[in-house]
Amino acid sequence: MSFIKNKKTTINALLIFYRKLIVPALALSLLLSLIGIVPMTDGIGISFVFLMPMMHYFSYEARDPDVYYFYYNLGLSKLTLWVTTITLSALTGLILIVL
Amino acid sequence: MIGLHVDSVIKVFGERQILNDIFISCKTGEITGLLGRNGSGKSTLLKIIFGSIPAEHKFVAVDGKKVHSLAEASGLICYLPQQNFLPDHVKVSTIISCFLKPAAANDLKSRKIVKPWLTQYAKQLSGGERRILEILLLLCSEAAYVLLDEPFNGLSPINIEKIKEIISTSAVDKGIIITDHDYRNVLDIASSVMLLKDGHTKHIKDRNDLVRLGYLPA
Repeated sequence: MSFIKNKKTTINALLIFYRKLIVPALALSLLLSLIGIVPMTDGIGISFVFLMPMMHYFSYEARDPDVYYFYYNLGLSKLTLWVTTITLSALTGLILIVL
Repeated sequence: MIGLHVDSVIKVFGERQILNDIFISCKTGEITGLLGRNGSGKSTLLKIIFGSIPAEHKFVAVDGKKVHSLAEASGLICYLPQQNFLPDHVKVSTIISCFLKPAAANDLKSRKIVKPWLTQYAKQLSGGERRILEILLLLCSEAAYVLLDEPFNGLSPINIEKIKEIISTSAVDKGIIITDHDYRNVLDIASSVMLLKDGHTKHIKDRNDLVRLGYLPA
């Protein structure tokens, strides 16, 4: 039960962490393709792969590094969060490219 | 080895060794005050104990179980940084539900002081309200040991009194290490006091020790 609770806590913490990143990164990717900076087809996915880690960097590393302690207290290290960001952005970007 | 046991902490920044073979311990029911001048390494020591920054050497154990990393400290030790740490884009109610187990979350949500904040975003709370909420979250968590880094920083006297009351009440089933430049408030609630000086911890018996060791003016 403790293991399930820990998993649930981790998932909830990650949802809070990425709520701040995913929507703006997706919206900016769409905007870049709409104004023609990146191609409409693959461009959204490709720009998302780069924009999501950039959002992570500016939101947490540059602007508000103390917020990391919220996640540290829940057992999530900075390395874990960065690995999750890279994995999530690559997977979502790939899905957007395939679609 | 019952309690939080910290030993042999060594930390070097560049060519300066700021922590030199540090020892500090705390048991549940105790509040250990940690005093020291600016730059003496108080925050660094707490972060090393918590596991958020590395040390050249450290031994941290909770009730005999060695704690190596941040992930291992989760649920055993929690840490209040000097600055506000709550994510500002989610509601207080969501933060509490994420941070605490359901029973503890419901208990905290039902407290008179917290109820008005539940539907607000963390960024809508004042600095003092955020600090009180952060301390309540840590003290209601399942962690038996809580490290408080300058909890009184920038707070009004009324909020300081509230926080002191919350900390003293919670110390019944938690071990707390507290550091703050407001030494009077630390002395008010601490059951034992240590001074961090020249990279070493020294046990403090009374105010005269703080004068003798150069922390307070004569």
